[in-house]
Amino acid sequence: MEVKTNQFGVYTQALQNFSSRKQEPEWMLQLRLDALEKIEALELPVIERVKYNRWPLVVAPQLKAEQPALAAPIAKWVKDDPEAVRVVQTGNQTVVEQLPEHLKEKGVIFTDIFTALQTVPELVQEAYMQQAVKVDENKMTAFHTAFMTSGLFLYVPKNVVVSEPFEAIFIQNSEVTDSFMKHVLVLAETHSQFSYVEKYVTAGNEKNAANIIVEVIAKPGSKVKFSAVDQLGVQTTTYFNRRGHLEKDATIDWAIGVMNEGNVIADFDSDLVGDGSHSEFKAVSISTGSQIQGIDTRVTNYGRHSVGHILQHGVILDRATLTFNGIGHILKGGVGADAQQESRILMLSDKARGDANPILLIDENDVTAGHAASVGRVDPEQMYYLMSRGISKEEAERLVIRGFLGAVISAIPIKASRQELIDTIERKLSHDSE
Amino acid sequence: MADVPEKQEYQYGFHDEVESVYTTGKGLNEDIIRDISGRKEEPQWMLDYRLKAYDHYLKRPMPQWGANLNDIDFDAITYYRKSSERAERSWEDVPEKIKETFERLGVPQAERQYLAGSGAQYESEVVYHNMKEEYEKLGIVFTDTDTALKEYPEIFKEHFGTVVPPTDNKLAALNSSVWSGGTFIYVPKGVKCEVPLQMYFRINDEGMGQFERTLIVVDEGASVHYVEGCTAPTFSASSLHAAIVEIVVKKDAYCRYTTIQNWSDNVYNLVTKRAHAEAGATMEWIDGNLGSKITMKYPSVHLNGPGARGTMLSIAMAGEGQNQDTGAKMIHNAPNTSSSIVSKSIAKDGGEVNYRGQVTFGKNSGGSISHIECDTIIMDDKSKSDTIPFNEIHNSNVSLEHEAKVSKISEEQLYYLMSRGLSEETATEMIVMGFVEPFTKELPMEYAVELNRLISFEMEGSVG
Repeated sequence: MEVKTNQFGVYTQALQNFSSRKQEPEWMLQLRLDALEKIEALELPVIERVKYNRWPLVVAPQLKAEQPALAAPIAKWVKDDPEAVRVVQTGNQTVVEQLPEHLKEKGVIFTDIFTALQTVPELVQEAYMQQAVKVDENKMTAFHTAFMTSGLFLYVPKNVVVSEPFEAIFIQNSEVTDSFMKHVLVLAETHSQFSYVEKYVTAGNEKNAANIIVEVIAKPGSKVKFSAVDQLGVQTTTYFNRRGHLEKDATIDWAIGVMNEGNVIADFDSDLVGDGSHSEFKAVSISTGSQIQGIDTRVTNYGRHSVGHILQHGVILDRATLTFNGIGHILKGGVGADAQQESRILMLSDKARGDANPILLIDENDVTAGHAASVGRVDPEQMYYLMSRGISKEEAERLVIRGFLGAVISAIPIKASRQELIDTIERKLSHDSE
Repeated sequence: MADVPEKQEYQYGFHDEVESVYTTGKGLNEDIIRDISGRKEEPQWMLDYRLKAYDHYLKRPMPQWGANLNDIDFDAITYYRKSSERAERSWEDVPEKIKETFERLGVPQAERQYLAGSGAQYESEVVYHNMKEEYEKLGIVFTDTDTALKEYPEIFKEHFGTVVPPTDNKLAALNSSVWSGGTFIYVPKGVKCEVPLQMYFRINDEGMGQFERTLIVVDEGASVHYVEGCTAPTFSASSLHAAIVEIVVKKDAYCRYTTIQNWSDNVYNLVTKRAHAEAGATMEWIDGNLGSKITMKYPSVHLNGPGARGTMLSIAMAGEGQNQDTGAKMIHNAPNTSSSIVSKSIAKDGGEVNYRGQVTFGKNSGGSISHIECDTIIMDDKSKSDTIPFNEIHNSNVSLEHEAKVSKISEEQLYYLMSRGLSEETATEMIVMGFVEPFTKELPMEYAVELNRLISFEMEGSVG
């Protein structure tokens, strides 16, 4: 028998040092070391029709005490607003934490993940890589667990309803070469209600890998509105995993703008574990330049009368590739479940590639499941209508596309974030000639 | 529910005692391939072709992405069995025992009634072939593939293996190395064959492998409709049917290929069917899958010329222990091409129906359109269904629409019918018949009647 040496074994000492500097609980170090051993043997996750095994994704981070602080001023991405409920992280550091007193009093926690590991370790331990995403699902999840170097923890206690949106801004520090290993853990306790908005941007132009896992645990009866604008840079190669774990009668509404500039594989999943749980997933994406964005969106109905809907709209320009895999999976026992999905792609270039693969896996008969997909060009009738009213061709095209992407824009609760997504869309659409 | 009738037995499950004239025995090796080729007195190029394909077959792993094929015992299969000395032109001359089999299946009767020509394949060899004179006069060739290799060597060699190369997949490699029998059709330029040509395939013995090879060439402006049916006896040892069908539809020509697959539930049916459609040509697959243990079949059309059209209309029905893993592929390689896929599936009694599809718009496919519809009814809580379509687009000036639905029998429709005094059973059957009607109405009348009867049998006992 060939004895395989684990090439990640060399990181054991560095991880022990990192964990002790961060004053992590013992179990967290153990979780990291167990995961470290598993990386080598596990396979990369399958994203249908996207070949990415040669992408530089599994690159261990430096594990230094602190990354150098970001040289660029954060004002470019963060508009000062003392009223905002907000956490800002640059690279591995948390630079802003704003949480109003009245929310603290209710027991809301919105802080750096390492702080949470010290102050509320039991809350983190119960959920972190345990319920939504599992450590040994694949190479990327094990790699993430071993090497997570920064993150955010949001906790909303039982019956607490928060009207202000929680806002997280993550600025990847690509002024240095270092992998971006980010974890976001959102815990919505029973019957809590709130909205959360996150944004990912890149400062600097070094080539880096990013590995981001976002877990949302929605306890019975909770309602979470989750929105995100992803704008990682052209030199960043990203593995993105967002996963909702929904218990009885819980709801998560997702609205995600996948607007990165570099290569991305993404896995956006909702596990409808509880009876009557409900997830509405909406994503828009634009691929430009020569980038590849492969997005797997999966809704798995375990619970009776659970409802999972997926809506994905994408636009492709230049020589770019955009792949939408929508997967509706109803498991045995999901009686009365409903899985519906819609994937639409607009092709704006003959050199581009678009894939819309709506997949239904149905193991139960008393269900309703359906999907629709379409790929095509900008609707000539709509163009004709607008142009006949004196609007220029370019402007008409822009209007039609904005309408096409509008489903997600309107679902974002913060006005500034909405505007930012619109601006990002305009920017991505306007440099369509390479 | 009271008095639910028992599901009717598979009516073609009988076995006839027919002595083979020759068999290679179980298992496969290079000598057997040389033996088959030698007995068929084939030219050297065909033997070389077979051996090269065999080489590839050995190297290629079993596909693991679809139905479970790991239980096939390739060493227990008989790869070649001959039951008659030659293909007869007169029904009277077919050996008595074989004739009995086909008479029980209604083949000669079918021919007398409405066909331009018909043929029958028993195990590895075609035993009967007839073409009505009026069509023969038009220059239409309808014969078995072995005869075609001898009598039409040029047109044969020009097209054979050009649509499905031996390296296409493991089962295609196997077929290319041991193929025997199958249909060869050539329709000359501008000739329209008004009534269908029919071929009937029968496996009679246990552990038999049937590897027929069909090649259809429809020359410019010509048209043809070909219908095939398949049955086998019910045995404990599984049989394997691994066919290749290649079709070349030339400029402005038309071809429709209708299959009613009703193998017994111990047959692995692993078939590669593909057509090339040139400019302005139309290729239509009408594909019904009712029988077999496992079917993996994804008929394809490569739309290679401007304005070519491809359609796929299919139904699949899976009962206890059955897995119908079927679908379609439409590859748009030229401008202004169009394709349509309509797939209707029913799963019941623990059966599994899966749809897998691939629609590709190449770089040069400007102005092309595709429409895809997959509907599935899952009759009970033991059955399941996956719908896995891939749509890949490399051109901006195209349009693709895809829709799919999976559900149980509509309660509203049931309620409506039952409130008018129909029993649940009758109502269910009516709904299913309505569900598959887009398919049945495209069949020749006799086949539609037969199919409705089969579905009606299958549905019996499914309510309760």
